[in-house]
Amino acid sequence: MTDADRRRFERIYAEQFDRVSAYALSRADRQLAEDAVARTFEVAWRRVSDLPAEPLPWLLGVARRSLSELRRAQRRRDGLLERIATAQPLAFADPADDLATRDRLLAALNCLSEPQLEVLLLVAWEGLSHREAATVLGCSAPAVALRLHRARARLRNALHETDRGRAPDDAGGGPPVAHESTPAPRLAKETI
Amino acid sequence: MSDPTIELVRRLRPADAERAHELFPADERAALLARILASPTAARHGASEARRRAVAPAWRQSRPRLTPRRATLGIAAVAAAATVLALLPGSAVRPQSASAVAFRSTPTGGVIAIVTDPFATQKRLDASFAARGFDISVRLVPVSPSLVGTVVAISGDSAGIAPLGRGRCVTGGGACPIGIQVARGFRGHGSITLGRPARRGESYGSTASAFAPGEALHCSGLLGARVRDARGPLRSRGIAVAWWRDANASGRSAAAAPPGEYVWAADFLAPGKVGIWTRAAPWPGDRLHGANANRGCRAGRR
Repeated sequence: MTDADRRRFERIYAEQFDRVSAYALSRADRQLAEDAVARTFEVAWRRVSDLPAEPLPWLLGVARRSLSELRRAQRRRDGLLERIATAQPLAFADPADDLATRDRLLAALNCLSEPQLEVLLLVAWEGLSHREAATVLGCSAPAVALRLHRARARLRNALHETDRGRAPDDAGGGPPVAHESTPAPRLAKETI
Repeated sequence: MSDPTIELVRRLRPADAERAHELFPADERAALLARILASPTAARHGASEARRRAVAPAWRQSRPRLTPRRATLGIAAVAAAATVLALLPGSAVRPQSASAVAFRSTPTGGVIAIVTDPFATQKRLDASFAARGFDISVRLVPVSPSLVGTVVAISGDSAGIAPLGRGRCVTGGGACPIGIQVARGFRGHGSITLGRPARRGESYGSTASAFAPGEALHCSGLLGARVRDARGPLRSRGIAVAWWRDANASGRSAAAAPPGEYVWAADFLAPGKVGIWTRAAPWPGDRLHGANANRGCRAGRR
């Protein structure tokens, strides 16, 4: 471990800490997020010589796996949608429309598979490119593009359904949180 | 981001994620950085993936709300850092450096000083700070486990120095880092007294409630128990009762207490040696009488 490695790590830590923290906080409560952030940078320090020139996607990939491991270790089952449903969202432009819009969105997101939701949030929340999201998820950029395309299509369709006053797909009026059943039959063969 | 569905989803992002910089204060992230840099790397120590996964986040050590299970994880995390391992009472590992203090620069230009030998003489501690160019005197006194690393006293130009993690570390094992954060450009004189683990048989200079998080009787179920019901569990934990006192301040101090009385409070005087206050009336279980010590306990335990 050289002084250059140390300096580089300190620079990355200073530059990326907020981004990694925001990623973890958007997917877990503070306690779990703290643990995941700490674990992420511990791993980064051990593997500082492996860190790519643009380290953020690599760090988010470690944070994602850390959150998953920590949830397993704590036997916690709270998923992405539970987190979204229970967290205070960013302010909507029209406060009067907040609750209705949020419920409508949650119901629509409930129609996405977990991998689709994951890629959608990496792009919408973290502002990542397809290539960067691919690094986080450990897949190829084309796979991300396809998964994102399908996620958008399904979301648009679900929103359209709710706008017409019907429950999206087969949601059946259930609570707007993640469910364990198979997503909409129309896209059930989807593998990405 | 021009896609309207993407923009719509963006608005659902939890608001606290947007405030990450506020939720993880500068001193806490600096303390985490110092601990990470003090930890071994795979390159130097060949740490296996399995071992890496077994190590809990060092961050947790600076948090104040640990449950006993988490406290164990926190101690495991400290074990990953040889220099910090030296803080554990009775540890066979001693600091390799002649200096009693390890210094790290923070990204914001400050300095973090971690005491690597909590049993160093005052002369060695002073020399370590002087060698770094600081006119800072750090004194260490033995304290009960939950107070290790916290401030016992502070004087001089205290605005420029602060304990690590705001002095709120609670592990129950005396494994909190002992150290200070020195503000960027600090050149004044400061004197700060911090808690360190006690040696076996050494009396505490400062102590928290024996039932507080991090202390040996936290979640023991003995707060509010009858005296006759408390004796056995205390014995089985290897805890000797130095005295029983009447919490009504009648002055009674004896080797025994009426078996039907209730435990209202307790303080450790030294490792494994406790003093207990009792009353004839049942413990009321309110915050005024230490109910907040139950934080993190299972229902019914205190």
